[in-house]
Amino acid sequence: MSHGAGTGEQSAEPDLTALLDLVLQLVMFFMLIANFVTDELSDKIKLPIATQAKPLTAKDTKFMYLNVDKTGKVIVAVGEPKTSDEEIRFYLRQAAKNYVDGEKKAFAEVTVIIRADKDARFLHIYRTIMAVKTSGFSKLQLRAEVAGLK
Amino acid sequence: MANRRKKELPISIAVPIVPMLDMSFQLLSFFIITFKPMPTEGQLAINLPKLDATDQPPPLEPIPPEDKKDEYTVSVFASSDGGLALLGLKGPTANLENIRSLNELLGEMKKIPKPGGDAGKVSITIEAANDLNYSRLIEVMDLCKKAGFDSVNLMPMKRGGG
Repeated sequence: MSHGAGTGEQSAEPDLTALLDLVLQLVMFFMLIANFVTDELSDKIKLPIATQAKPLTAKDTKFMYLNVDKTGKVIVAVGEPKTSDEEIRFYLRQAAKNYVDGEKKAFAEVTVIIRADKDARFLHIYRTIMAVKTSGFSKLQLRAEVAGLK
Repeated sequence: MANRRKKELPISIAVPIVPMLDMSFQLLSFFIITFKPMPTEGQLAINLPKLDATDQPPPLEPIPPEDKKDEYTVSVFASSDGGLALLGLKGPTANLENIRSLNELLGEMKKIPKPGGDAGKVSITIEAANDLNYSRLIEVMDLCKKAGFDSVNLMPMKRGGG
């Protein structure tokens, strides 16, 4: 607060620095917890709910996602959705070839996680599972929303 | 020189905080409006299906008895809308075909004996109808895990069960 010098005028200026500090802290908080939509996790997929699903741990670092929508199309990070078995297999083999540690390690170490829509049919899921199997991957998991946690 | 300095008024540097505060509020509003908490996602591990028996060479050595697993099959028939119609459980100690609810199936699965108390020695194969909804399939898988069986396989129903 400053006082007018000699004029008898008084100006009341609130100290905004503290408010600015607080607002910036809030901005940082929201920036850190914001979930930016990644290419691999399609938000078009509505997952089913499971009570026994286990969240990923810090150890699980080698995985790739296949998003299966309700019509059975496989939505991938890059390119058009895959509709046939051959397209899915080709995509998976390309992903394995581009793996940093090489194709063999990709097949042995990478877990393929299928994120399928709750309204998809078993036929579509099984077709995707078989494509994973025949392309050479050895680890597979199905993803679901963990019940009771939001 | 010294006299001139004495006469100079002290310089007060004031950083304009108000525009910065305005901008921060705008950023804050953006993040609050776009904030959408994502649901926590988790995994259910399954075994990859075996390829057709015709594709695989016969095993050279017989499987040792301690590695043999009791194999049970849960049949899941679908209604026309993809829901659960009927369930079945077949295996060394069970042969049930008319299970009507998941709770009933859970009860039957809990009765399955675990050799040596090890649920890992029991393998469950879910044989599902092609039209079954994925959410229903996950419910059945969830139930198998709840009953204590982690080794779960999936396969399509051989005959037209959907």
